[in-house]
Amino acid sequence: MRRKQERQGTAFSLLLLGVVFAMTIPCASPALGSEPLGDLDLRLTLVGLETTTASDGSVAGGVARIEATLEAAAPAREARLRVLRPDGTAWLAGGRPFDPGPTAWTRADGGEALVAADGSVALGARETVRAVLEIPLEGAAVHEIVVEVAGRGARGSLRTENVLRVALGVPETDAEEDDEYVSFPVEVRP
Amino acid sequence: MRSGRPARLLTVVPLLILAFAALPARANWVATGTFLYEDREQDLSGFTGVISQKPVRFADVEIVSNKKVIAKGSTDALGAFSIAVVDSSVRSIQVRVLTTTGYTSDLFVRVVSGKSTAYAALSSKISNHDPTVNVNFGTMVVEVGGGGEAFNIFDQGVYGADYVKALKGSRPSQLITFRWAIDAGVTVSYTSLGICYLRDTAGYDDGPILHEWAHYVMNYYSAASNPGDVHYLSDCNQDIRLAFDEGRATSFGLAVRRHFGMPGSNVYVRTDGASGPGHALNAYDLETPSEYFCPGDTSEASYSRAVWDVGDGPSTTDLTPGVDEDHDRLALSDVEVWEVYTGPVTLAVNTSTESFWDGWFDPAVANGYLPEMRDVFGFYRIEFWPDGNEPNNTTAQAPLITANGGTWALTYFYDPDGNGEGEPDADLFRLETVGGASYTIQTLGLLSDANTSLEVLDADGVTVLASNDDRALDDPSSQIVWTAPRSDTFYVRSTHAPDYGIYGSYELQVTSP
Repeated sequence: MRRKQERQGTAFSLLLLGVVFAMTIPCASPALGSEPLGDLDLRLTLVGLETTTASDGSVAGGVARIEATLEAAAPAREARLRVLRPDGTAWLAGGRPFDPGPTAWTRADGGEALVAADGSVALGARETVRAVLEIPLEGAAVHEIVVEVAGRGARGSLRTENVLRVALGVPETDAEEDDEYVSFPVEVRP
Repeated sequence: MRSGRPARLLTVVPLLILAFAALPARANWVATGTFLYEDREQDLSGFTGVISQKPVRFADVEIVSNKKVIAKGSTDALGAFSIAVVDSSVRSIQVRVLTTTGYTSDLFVRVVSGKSTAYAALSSKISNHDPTVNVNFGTMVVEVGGGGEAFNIFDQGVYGADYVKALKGSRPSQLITFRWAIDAGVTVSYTSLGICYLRDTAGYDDGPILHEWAHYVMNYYSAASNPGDVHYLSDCNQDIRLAFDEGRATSFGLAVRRHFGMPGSNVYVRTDGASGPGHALNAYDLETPSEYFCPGDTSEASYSRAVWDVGDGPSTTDLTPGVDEDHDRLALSDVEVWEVYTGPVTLAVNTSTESFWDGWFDPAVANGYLPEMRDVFGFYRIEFWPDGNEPNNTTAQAPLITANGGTWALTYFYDPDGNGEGEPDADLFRLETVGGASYTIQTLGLLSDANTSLEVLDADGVTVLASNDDRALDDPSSQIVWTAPRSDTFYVRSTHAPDYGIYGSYELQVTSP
């Protein structure tokens, strides 16, 4: 009797799995679609984070090591990088605009990138270059670091950017996650 | 008789219990309120800086007490809810709205985190609630960075479902899942196996969200043979299957915004989600053909714009309301396009713009408007119609081509009944030669899927004297350098080499020193 119940339970589970499968898997060909990219595509990855603490133990600042990966869909030249705040102004370090200096680009395939003395880089079509940036961070906060790349292509100026959020000494969001939900508090408004 | 009573009681009592259980129990209090979410408005530059409040529509709502659900319902089109709660206890209560639609019978949308858990927006706690007192939780707003992104994605899914309802009469009955988290490490959105995986920074990028949603819808209701891979708007030489599927996803996704009259419905913009105005990674506009202009159907940008033109009109809520392009005389219902996607396109082996074109004129659909369609697609040099030399499929029909007589603009497209739907084509030309003279016969300027193959035929029109498929390994155009064995009439035959498509435009040229 118990074995029969187990079999029924298994059958029910399989049926349930079948229903879930039918609800979530499209019947037609599962072609892989993705979003189109522009002439330049910049990706940022946090590869290191150093934190400095104040005498009272609180987080005073730090340095974010960011790997910037730049890919060109079509040939691009004079591509230069800037580190910005979200409002478009220069990133600040010690109250002054932060200058990351000439960017040391390397080609993704290990070869040497074509880098000019001013740190700008030229890329061929579908070429990828990488650089590691060290960005100073001041104070405990979620730092939004915007990295902009501008250059020139066959059809004129090119520009793109990306952002990296670095949580230093504070949680990235005020969400609470358990097995059921990622919960955010709501604001009551009149 | 008496001995029958206990037996009857045994039957009646459980039935009465069941009957009472089935009766609707009295609601002790009613929970009301409204959920809104903050939306970041966009234009071609990224964010405009305007943050508006929009209703969290048709989402699941739960009344909870110490994490236990004591009543459930859903929001309406305005984000409002009114839920009767059966309750007899003094307790602390909260209300939460979810990115799921389990309590709306015909809606199947959910947004989950990287760990597959749904998002919730949770009110503050009301302690010691008297179960006889109704509660109005007020207007609760899910903020930017505080869950607003997840509810914006959810709202796009609801809009998408209602767009499908407008096209076919009912919302999709298949669950669509958007998987998004602010820190999931996804750098490019994609869709696979019924799940749209969204870029970490895409929470407010309605165009890309709907692009992925459109992939899901097309995978389910239509067909796609997209080989996948990274793709670029500026790539004018895409695989025709990818160009069609990606261009279709952009145009169909933005058609949702157009249908609901949203401003700037023609704008596709990717952002990095940073605070404040701007922050576009890249953007394009379905109404500005000079941007990313590529001739032929090997460009997702060109297909997206052409099919957009079929459905837009002066009243479209684009960046230039009230006007439309000169080449675009169509403003047809989106149902016409939907019928093609869900009809003839599903039968195509390699889905491409060719499948769409033939499907449009397929007798089962017969959408018509051939001159207008030629104007729209021809603007992007997608030329799926016979050239001026047709019919020239046989030696008897072959027009005379002369050496050094210039180039001939041709298409691979045969339409014997003139209904707009094409067939495979062969282009034959008669060549009068001088014995011993050298002739260079070549195809140039290949557009769309024109993958040429050339032959020189003897005077009998059958014997192949010379041929060439690809002039080089990575160049599908053809070139024959041939010395005429005698002065006579020979034939040049041009056919489409085996490929994913059968149509395309090209030029033919014969020169002799």
